[in-house]
Amino acid sequence: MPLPYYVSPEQMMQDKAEYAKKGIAKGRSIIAIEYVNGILLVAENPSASLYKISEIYDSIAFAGAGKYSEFENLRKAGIRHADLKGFMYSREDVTARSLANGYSQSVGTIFSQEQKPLEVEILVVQVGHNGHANEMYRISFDGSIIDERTFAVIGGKAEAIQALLKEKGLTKPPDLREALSLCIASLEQIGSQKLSLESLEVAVLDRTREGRRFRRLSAADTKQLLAT
Amino acid sequence: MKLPFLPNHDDSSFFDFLTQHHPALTPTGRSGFLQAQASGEPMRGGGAMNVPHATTVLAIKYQQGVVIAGDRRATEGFQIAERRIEKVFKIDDYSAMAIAGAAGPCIEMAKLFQVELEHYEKLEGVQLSCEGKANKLGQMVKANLPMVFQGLVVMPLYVGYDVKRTEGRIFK
Repeated sequence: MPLPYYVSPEQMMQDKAEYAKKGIAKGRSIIAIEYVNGILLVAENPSASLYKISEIYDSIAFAGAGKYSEFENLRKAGIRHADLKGFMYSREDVTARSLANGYSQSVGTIFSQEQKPLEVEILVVQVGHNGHANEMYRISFDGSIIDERTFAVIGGKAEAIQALLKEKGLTKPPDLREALSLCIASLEQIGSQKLSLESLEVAVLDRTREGRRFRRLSAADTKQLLAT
Repeated sequence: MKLPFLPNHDDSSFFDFLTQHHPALTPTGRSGFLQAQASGEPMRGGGAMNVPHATTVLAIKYQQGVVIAGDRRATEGFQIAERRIEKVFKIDDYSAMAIAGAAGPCIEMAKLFQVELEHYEKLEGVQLSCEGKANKLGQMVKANLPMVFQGLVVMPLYVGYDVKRTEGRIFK
């Protein structure tokens, strides 16, 4: 009987990580950035109906990069988790922290136990109101969770865009228009191509809204916003 | 794959999700009812007839939409339990419902229905059609049938603005 090849755990993890990274690197990037009244999410997305950014709960949004089917599953699981929690307890008891922890658990378990790791990177952001700070969590393919401030980037060219935004040295949150043009400029500079507004998916979590704070901005909305 | 955070479920209905994975949280999933059923004991409670009810809710269509209204009194036997109870609920941006029957289960159903529609909208990316919403509510009322035999009647009146037909609609 042939002996199965011995593969050291380190090697196995490294291979899996490489595989996942490769999958994610193929995709485009998504930026989340704090602005005066909330959080702005901008994704490069040629499709107008297959969303990368989505609402999870009253003040929580989700963004996924990588394989669509995989982050779509995670998104649905997140909505179920949030709605269940909100129904069982109260709407204010649904927090991005618990959601991000759940995601981290699930993604981490799949990374270590399954043959194929998830080729996804996700963002869970919550806009703070009543004097609370915003929360932004980035969850990697291996389940590691990173608490971000001011801005967060996921997807193929995440590191380059992150460096670019860091260079700008934002000291205080910009207004919505400024934040949007900053995001578009960064995406254009890294992708070295002009982006049409139709190829962007833009959404905000606006703390000035009541109840459900998530709002999508259509191409016409963004155009109008940039023109003012 | 079984993980706490990824239940095997691919339905867009929150009500079905609760029924399958958390039956204790559904209005009909009470252990009391299940016990009574298991022991074969005839259900007590006197049936719907003994529950005094005098709620009136009504809805009227007008040109641009539909109005819904109800009285505000809640009673417990011959006593007034609450003078300003809420019987008309906003369900989402395009619909509302009013309730008549046992207050507890009624309010619970309204709340569940709100979550149901919001859940569907978030999962699918689009809202249910007006008729779809009414059908879903109908199914929920039907699922409540076992409770009706215990005297906990839920009678909703649902109104919605049908965006496609551009008119208000009333479902009873």
